[in-house]
Amino acid sequence: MIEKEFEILNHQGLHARPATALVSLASKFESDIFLIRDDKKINAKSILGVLVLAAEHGCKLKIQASGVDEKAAAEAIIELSKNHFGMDEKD
Amino acid sequence: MLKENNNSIKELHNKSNLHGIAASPGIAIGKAYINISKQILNFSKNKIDKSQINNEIERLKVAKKEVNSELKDTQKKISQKYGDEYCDIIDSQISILNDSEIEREIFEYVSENLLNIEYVYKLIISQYIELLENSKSEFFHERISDIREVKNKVLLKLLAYNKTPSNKIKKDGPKIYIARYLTPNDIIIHSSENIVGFVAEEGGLTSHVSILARTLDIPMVLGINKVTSIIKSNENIVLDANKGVLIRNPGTNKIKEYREEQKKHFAIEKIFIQHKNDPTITKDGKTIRLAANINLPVELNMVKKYGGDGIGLYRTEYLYLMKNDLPTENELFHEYSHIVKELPNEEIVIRTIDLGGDKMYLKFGEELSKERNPFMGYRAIRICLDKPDFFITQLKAILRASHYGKVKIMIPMISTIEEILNAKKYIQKAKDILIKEGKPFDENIKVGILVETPSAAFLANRFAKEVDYFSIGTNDLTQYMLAVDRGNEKINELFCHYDPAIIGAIKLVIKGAQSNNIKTTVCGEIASDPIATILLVGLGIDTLSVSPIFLGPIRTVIRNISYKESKKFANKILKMETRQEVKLAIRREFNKNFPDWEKNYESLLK
Repeated sequence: MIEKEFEILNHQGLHARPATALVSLASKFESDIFLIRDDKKINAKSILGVLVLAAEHGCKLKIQASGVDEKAAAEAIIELSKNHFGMDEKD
Repeated sequence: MLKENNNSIKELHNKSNLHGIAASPGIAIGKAYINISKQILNFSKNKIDKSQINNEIERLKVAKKEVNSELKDTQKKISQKYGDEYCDIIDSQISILNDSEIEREIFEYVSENLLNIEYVYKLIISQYIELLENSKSEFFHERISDIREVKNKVLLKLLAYNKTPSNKIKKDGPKIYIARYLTPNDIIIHSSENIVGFVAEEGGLTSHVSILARTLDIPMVLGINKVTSIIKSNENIVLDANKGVLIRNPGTNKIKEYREEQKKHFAIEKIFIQHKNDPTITKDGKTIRLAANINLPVELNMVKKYGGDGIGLYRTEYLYLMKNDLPTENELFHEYSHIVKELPNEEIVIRTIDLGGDKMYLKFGEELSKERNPFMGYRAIRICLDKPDFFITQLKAILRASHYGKVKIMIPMISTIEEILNAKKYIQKAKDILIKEGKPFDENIKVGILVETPSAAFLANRFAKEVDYFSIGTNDLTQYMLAVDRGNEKINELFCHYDPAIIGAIKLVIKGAQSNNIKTTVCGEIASDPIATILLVGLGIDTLSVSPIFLGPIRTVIRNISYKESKKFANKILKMETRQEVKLAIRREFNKNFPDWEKNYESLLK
């Protein structure tokens, strides 16, 4: 199992569109991937789960991935978060 | 307590008419459609046999598939009626519906606990709703309504296998949509189906849904207490949104009467359409440009229908308010250039965002909703200058659209010279970025301000040296000049466009413009009031920009008055001391020029 942390850079937080981008990326991996915020732990392949995190701008999330491609999965998600989940917004 | 409540509902049941606020004018005749989420979904928790597991799972799959195709269908209708820009309001419902992880969770629960699928589906989805409800962040709360909507749709489908009630708005003629409250998305989604009118328990005149309904020309009445528990589905009703009344059991005579009124309305509309290309010139040859105010690109149809000299005010807030996320530069560009391409030979005045004030914008954070005095607070240009990146994104989109036609930029809420100088700096910066990016735009794009603060009116002569044109926003100008909150019912009487101070301010602005050789538009509500046209023309206005539905009436007035006489009249008004005098004189002058106004459109337009 691998654990990593990342910060939400999107102004809007993990809203509908960035959340969808996260879920579709996570779904490409075989590993089980969870996102953790405080006492909430959800499946990163579930849009409802990701929305429930209510992850706003600046909040920190933990990724927990376990499986054959766990390292690649965690890295890909962190990369996506750095790119504002594919939203073309600028700071 | 409960008993008392029941009694009062019973009492209301017996009344035939229900009164509310007329939020968007018009008449709708049809059957009541009560929003499904307000119906009670009755089902019990049942034990199932192991052999039934697959069957239960299959039922959910079929139900979801059907809801999915209904949502896609709605999406198609929205895009046909309002354009692709609004399609993504359905996207989040579709992705919530098709969450495969949740489906797995549900199937596991069914297999382990041997319970019926509707019970388990509701249980699990409700847990997620509860989690989201408990989250502190307010702007995720709007997702809750999406999840609820999906939940109810799926449950109704599942239940339809036992009984056969359909949750779909049946295609049997026009319906009037009744709900506890409405969202802008409700209006877009349902008006693309067979909904002809909207009714809700909550909401007031200035709420977004009522502005949107007026924009789309759909009758709406808000604030009818307990309407969802009083009216039954499929009841025949007439919605008289001119008066704000919902009429129950109207009977054939009443319906006939209302159909007559609708007919009359259509007849007048036809006359206006016939004359849409008549030039707006006074009897003695002075041309007054007549442009339109719009909120959404879909209104272009109305502008084309009634004829106008382009767009005098395009309010750009709606795309921001209706999207779940902040719109990107490309999305904005797509929307603006669409309008410009539709009217390539006409001037399009694009106002940079005027959020804040009555258009609260949670998406920037919560500080906006908690202001003590929001109309004097963090709004419009003040937000833009505070968040330059956000401002530049919109400016770049406007500039890029300017490549395709005649675009002008309009900056709202300017109260100091520094603000307009700073705004112009950012416009220059946006231009520089576009040059670097190699994207074309109109280098000579004109920049103007919306004169709506007393300071801008008072120093119009100096502001005129910094801008290419003025537009007077009389609604806010009245509010600020008279220090009257226009949303406060207790002081409604004090809010008046015809106060001598307002007339004097308009004159001052026009004088400031004229001495600097720039033009002035009036785009506030006063411009859409036919009674005020003589005065505004007489004061020396160059352009009137009005709601599309008023293009016909205002054109009629302009073509039947004399500029010379109007000037004399305006000079008389400028000497008056009380608003009562002004109001009476304006009314008298109008009646003198247009006796039997509404009956005579046809002859007036000859």
